Amino acid sequence: MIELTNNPIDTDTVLRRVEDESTGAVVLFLGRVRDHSEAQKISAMEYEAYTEMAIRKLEVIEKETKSKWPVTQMALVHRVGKLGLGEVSVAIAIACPHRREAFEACRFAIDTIKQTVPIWKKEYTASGETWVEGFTPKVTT
Amino acid sequence: MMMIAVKLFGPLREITKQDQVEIEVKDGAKVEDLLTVVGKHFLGISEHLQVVSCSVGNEYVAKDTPLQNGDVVGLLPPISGG
Repeated sequence: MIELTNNPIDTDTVLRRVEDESTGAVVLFLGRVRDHSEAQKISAMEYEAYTEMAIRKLEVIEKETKSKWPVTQMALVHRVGKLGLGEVSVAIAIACPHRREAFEACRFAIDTIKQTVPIWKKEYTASGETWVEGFTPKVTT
Repeated sequence: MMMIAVKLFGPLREITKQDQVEIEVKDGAKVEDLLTVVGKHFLGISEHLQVVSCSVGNEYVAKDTPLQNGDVVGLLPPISGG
């Protein structure tokens, strides 16, 4: 399951997407909007995506993760639009036979999202709006 | 001449107030040549153009990649999802 959504991410729904009675471990990672960055208080965060390419890159991450670990079910959901403090910006759920590979696969998925998926975020603070300093993806083709 | 659809994101979209623009480049032009034309077309984005990654067909490409008529090129500031 891969999704970019304008709506709040419902973690119960994400977990239901990875239900599989043959697996003993499910790892759920949630990225949330925190109330500060460096010295600044944050009031909100806005996410923007290059939708077609972001979906394509999430599909690649799903395929790569499944090729490296015995993942039976996997969900990658990223929010776009303006989020308040504490709201979930990204959810990753991974089901594997055992916990070790589920943790490793989930770590790989979130790290690779941050390094390859064309999404941008802007912080809202008392002094204004600032695009967050980002990561320059590697050219792989 | 070739017509290239250029998609703009984040600060580039905000400064130019456009999310897509059609840009004409010479036959045989590369991604880096397109960036030069875009920089002349929009003032005030050169700082951002220096750090963009570029995509063609939803894949990141090197700046010396040759363009083809009708390509869709994304100008992608450093990414910050997650």
